[in-house]
Amino acid sequence: MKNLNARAALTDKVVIVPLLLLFALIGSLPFIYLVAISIKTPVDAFAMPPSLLFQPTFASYLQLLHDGQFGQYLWNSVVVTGAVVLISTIIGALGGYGLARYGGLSSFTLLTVVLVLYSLPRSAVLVPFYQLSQASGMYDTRVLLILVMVAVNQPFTVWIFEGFFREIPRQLEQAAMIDGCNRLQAFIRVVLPVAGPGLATTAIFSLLFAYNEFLLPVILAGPESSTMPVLVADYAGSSDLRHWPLFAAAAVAVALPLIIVMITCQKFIVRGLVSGAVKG
Amino acid sequence: MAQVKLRDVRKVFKKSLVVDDVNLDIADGEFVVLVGPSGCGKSTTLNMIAGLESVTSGDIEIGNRVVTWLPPKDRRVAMVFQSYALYPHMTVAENLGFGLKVSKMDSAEIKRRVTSVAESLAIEPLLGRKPRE
Repeated sequence: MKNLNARAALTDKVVIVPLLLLFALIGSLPFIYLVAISIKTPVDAFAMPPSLLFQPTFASYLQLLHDGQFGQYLWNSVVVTGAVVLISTIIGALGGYGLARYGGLSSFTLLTVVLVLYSLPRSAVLVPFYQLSQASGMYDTRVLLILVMVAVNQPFTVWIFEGFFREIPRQLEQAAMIDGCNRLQAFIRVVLPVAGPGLATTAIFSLLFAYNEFLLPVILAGPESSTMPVLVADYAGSSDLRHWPLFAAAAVAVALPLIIVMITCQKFIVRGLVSGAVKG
Repeated sequence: MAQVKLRDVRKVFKKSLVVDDVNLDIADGEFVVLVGPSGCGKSTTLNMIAGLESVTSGDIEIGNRVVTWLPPKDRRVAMVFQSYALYPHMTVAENLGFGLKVSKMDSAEIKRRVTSVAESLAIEPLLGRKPRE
């Protein structure tokens, strides 16, 4: 047995780990290439074959910082993403709890309708959203972007929460109510903490959606409220080739916060805290 | 301790009659067992006494006080669940003290009471652990 374990460990070291490293390298190659371009001068950036040895320069990043638009768009991204995560998590938690606990046919019907709406391609609802934004005078405001993103994201959060809450035994909150909680207290002090992994999952996926979404801001937002992905696309679409490293720098700047968030949060996207709660 | 009275307590779920006009007097300190086949309404009756289920009609009195429409927290009852429910995100000490904490007792007093209970049960070494540990 010991021998087998040792052999398995050896296989891990010699075969599996190098293979995984190789895959990781292949997967991150485009990003590495992007980072490389972002610290090249425009001339180096277009050298064919790509120059591996070059004088790194942070000129593009400095230029980005001095570009007033960058600060504005970054701030828009932060505000919109934060608001979308907060609002859709709260609504999702309350709605999901309600549907999980007062279930039955109406709950099932509602969840199905919501899922159908969610499965509509986003481009299908763009035109009505655009016309509504013009008619209401909310075009190119952060509030509009937040409202629309919350609306688009809501079915997802309600679904995730509903699933998590349904797995939490009713007796847990009944025990809390016997202990002196009212329904809301039982929800906040017992059910929600137990559903912690669901909370984290929903928040992180809402964050990814709101931060990365391109189609909605490009149609519904102008220079006042656009978010980072639109700016990156602007640079990428520029016909001025000197903007190429600038585009790369912007793309790296957009990706960096997400990479940090994902590395710190990935351990929260786990489940199973509830195991051991009820013995029966 | 207090006496418990059930007067014509009835529970209807959707269209099925689950508890049919139960009348029951339980004296102070009396030990009562509800026996019956599964699905006959034992748990529903208990849940109604505790306030976790609403009654369809009838009245429940605990200690000469009509509690029929009071929420569980205002009935001052305790209940042990069939499959016992512990709060998995709290330590043993927090589990024990949760009811006191909700009733806004000060933390020194909670600690004193939790410790004394733990001593009488001889589980002091486990107070810092969580249920699944």
